[in-house]
Amino acid sequence: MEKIGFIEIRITGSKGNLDLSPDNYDIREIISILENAENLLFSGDKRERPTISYKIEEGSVKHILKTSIQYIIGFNAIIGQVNQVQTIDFLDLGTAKAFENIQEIATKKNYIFSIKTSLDNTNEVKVDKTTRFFRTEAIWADAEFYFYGKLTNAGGKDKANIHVFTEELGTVRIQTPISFLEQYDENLLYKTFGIRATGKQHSETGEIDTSTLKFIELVDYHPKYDEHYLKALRDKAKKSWLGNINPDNWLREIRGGYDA
Amino acid sequence: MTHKSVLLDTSFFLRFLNETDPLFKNADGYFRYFLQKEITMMISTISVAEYCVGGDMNELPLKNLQIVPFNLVSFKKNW
Repeated sequence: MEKIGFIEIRITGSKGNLDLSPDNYDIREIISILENAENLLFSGDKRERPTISYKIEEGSVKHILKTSIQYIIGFNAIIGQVNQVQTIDFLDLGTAKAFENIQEIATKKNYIFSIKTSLDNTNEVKVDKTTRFFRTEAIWADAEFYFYGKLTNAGGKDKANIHVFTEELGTVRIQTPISFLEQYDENLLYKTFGIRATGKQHSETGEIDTSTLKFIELVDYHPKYDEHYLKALRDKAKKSWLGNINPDNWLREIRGGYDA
Repeated sequence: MTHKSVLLDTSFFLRFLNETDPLFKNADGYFRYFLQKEITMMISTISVAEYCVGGDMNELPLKNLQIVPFNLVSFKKNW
């Protein structure tokens, strides 16, 4: 068996009165397809992926993307399933977004996409203006997050963001208002903070759509025993209420029959 | 077995923040131990809400804790 295979993304449609062909197909459209094709094949970390080579052919426009046969076999199964269930909700975020991008192009430009592989009896999925390959909105629920870690980057000319290096998720990029970064006097870089942010989270898998993260506030985080800080909190708590309650009774009362 | 993090419940803070509580020393000892051993201490927003029925959020040692929000996914995991 060959060690290399390919996926074929065939696009039919027209540009004005002319049928689509490599001669009237803009390089920006090629760039968009290449980005989406990479995400179709490798939805997560791309650093370890094998080489993907590319050629464009007539017919109307055929994008041929060659890579290791193992990934082509996997991709064939994915398009088989997408074609069968006609939904992309089960896919990883990167792959689902690539399908959504292709669906948007198909709807906007009235193109017909046919996606298949080089395998014998390959599966095939068609995307055109009649299909609806979009994630079901409800599955991506609004959520709030706290990310704790070192700030490794902050800024940006128009769309400002901060990068936090977290133990669990690696580097997370959070859209941050320029007004916040402008007003913050101290140097934030390489210091440990908590960042409170909103974003979308998959209601089944818990996956966070990191492209949706928006900054709410910076949270102080110093995991050190600080006598003065804790004494001040204890004084406040005791004075306001803790000095006047029996904790067991209080908890039993507010929890009712439920005790954790 | 190595513990990477611990989740502290409301009842822990009721003892930890009251020096006259009979279990204060235990709670404070655990708190010191976790910090010393660099074991991350976490508090759920549920515990924060529960504590705030009687007290105020500003009484909790949030500078030493990581906050765990309660989202739709947490609901599914826990119930």
